[in-house]
Amino acid sequence: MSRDALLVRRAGLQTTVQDLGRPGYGRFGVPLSGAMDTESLRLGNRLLDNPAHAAGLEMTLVGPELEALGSLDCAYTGADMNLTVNGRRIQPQRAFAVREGDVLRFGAVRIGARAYLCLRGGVDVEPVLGSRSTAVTAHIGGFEGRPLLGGDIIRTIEPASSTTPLVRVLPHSLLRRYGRETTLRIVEGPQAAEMREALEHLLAADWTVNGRSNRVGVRLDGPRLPVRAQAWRTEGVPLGAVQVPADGAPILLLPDRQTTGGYPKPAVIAAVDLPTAGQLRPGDRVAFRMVAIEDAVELLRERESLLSSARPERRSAGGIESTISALETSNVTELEVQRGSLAFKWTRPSTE
Amino acid sequence: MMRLRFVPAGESAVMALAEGDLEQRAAHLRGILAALDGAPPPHLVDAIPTDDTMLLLYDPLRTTAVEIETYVSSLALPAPVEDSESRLKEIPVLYGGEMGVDLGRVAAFAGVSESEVVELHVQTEYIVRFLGFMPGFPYLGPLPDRLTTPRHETPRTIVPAGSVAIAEDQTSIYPVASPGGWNLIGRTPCRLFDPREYPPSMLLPGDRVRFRPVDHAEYSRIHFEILAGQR
Repeated sequence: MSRDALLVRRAGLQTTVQDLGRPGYGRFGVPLSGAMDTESLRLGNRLLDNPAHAAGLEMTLVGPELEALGSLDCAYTGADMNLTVNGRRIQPQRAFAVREGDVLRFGAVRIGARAYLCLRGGVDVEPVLGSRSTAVTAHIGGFEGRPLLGGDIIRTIEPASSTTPLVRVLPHSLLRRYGRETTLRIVEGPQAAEMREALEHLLAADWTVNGRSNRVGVRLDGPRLPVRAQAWRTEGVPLGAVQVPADGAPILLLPDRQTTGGYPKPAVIAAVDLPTAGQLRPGDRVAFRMVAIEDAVELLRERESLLSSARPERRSAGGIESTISALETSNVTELEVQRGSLAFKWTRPSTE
Repeated sequence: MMRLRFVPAGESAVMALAEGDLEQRAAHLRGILAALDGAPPPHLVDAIPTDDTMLLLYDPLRTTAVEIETYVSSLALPAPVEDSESRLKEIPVLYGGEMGVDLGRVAAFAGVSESEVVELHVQTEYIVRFLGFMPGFPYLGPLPDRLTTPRHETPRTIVPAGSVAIAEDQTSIYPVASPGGWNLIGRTPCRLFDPREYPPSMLLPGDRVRFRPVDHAEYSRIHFEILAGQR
């Protein structure tokens, strides 16, 4: 079962359907794809009790304008993209409901690069090789392998019943901080032994994200890394590889990367920091810190354990008093809710 | 027994390096891939082979590089398939003209006529070394030395799907339209990548490939048969 959910009135800079990607087809040259910030997509799905692999919209730098074609439960996570619904501001990291005719207008992000909009049941497009993700360079998945265009109609897989409360909010303890300055943890890559000097320079320098960055790779400006002019072997490319091409300017290879490549990779971003790398935007400053492989696994384990233990804070529709009392005992500082023509705004009273 | 060496590639992947000469390494890795297909170790996520390496991607919360390495090293490999027994695929190609705009460039580098380039290209039997770059893109070799031609310095923004191309000492076919710097010598109507099929790629590592020259009429006929789902 599937129904029309949203009409794309304006597509935004690059809005694509993404889920957790298409693993297992690398040997056929098929890129992984999937959300750049998988954690935000997963949290959006969690807010709606969707399966973790449900597809949502990934919106980049400047978001779309969407018109609801029916009643919908939505979740909005990741970077703050200045969303308004019928002109009223909605903060990210929460689930909310809209009605037919409501207009969701995403603006520009100021910090971070990508916001996610999940729908109850998940965005419905034809799965390709087990995934709904859009691989823009490979032209597969999503909407005919391309970003959304004005006039597209986004469909949702209708769940058996709707149980979303009025609003659900992610606790602050779960959220990553995005900033204009980021430190990414890295572990040794396949050419670490041959590129000690390049690794030292990579760790010592400050880097700036270049404007020619996309879902394939984030290019970094900074000092040129020393790299031997030799024929390196062509080999498979791990997700998050820090690749150093002949010009010495490193590239962080992200979900739409090619499966094989012939440039050396002295380091790989620790998996725990991949969602942070997926939020890098042109002009952001980046530094690197090396961690041991065992530590990278432990960091990932801790992060996953935090994610699985935390629960969205439920705001039942059982009266305004119960909502306010729930808010007062939470660590939420501010909340704005809207359902149809009803709006509710709460700000934690100052105690100082 | 062939040996593998392992190099870490982050906390979620390990690179297996095959030793021996090129043919032995390729055959060894194809054997491993076939064995992994039949019985993958728990929590292996993907395996990406090239000429002499295989990247093994795994879930680091549920297994370790050591477990993956031990498993892969102890695989009972199927007997190596003689190349003459592996699958032979014939690829019809309309060479030159607007379908192969760089045929003249390749001929100039080789110091031969365009028809001699076609002759050299079709009389060679190639092996699919591995797939990479884009879905279903086969790296085919060995190319006759004569045909070695450098890439374009500035890649084209669009290379049409089905383009048969040469770069350095390799030849390939673009399965989907994409930017590309290879020299385009012809085009095939064959569909190299179809995500509705399994395997999604028409050519697989180890396959043998021969190109067959066709004229406009035959190209069109095959093209329409493919569009109509008749082949």
